Amino acid sequence: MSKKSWAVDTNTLVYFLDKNSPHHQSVVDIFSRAKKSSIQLVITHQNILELIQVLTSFYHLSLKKAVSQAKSVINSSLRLIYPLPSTLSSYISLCGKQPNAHYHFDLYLAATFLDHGIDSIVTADHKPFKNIAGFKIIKI
Amino acid sequence: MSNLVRTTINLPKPLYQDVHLYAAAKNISVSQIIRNCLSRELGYKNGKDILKLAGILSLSGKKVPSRSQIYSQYVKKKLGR
Repeated sequence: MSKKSWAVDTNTLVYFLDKNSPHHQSVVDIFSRAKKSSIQLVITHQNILELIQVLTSFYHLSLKKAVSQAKSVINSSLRLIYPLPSTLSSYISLCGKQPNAHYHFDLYLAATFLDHGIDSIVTADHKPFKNIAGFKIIKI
Repeated sequence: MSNLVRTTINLPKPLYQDVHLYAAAKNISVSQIIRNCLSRELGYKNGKDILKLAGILSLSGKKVPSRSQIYSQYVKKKLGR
């Protein structure tokens, strides 16, 4: 039987790293709960790019510092996955079922997780994922 | 590497060809690639406990923008709009 996994959204990752975030403790609690329950936390390549973009553009960290943080995350116990050849068609399929045109990048992220058999995501922004059948949201 | 076990697996022909091309390009063995993939799939990783990274940044505490905001800003900049 494969290990139970939870996807981690980029916003969750930022709140986890940022000790000043009002969501920080909530995310730490969720990650601790995952560890106790032997649940694997998973991110994608896309999350890493977004993390660097957010840290540099919205929090004004230097690129050097943002990359250094991203490397720490990459080398941590989080499992890092990447899109599969099937992910494009999974994404297109999800697009066809969505009423909102603003969620393309969220859908591509969801398609990557779903293609790896991961159907739960820890996120602060549930709206883009709420209409995806079988995709569970763990709110922070 | 005495702890290795020899085994046989069945692969679709295109995957078999691709993995050999990939191995040649990366200058690593097909066995190593398969070991890496299986380890990843099974969640084996000797990385630092993610909980040790909790709160390592002292940012403004402000809300992270939505994904569409992150990409819109970037795309607008790239397209010069």
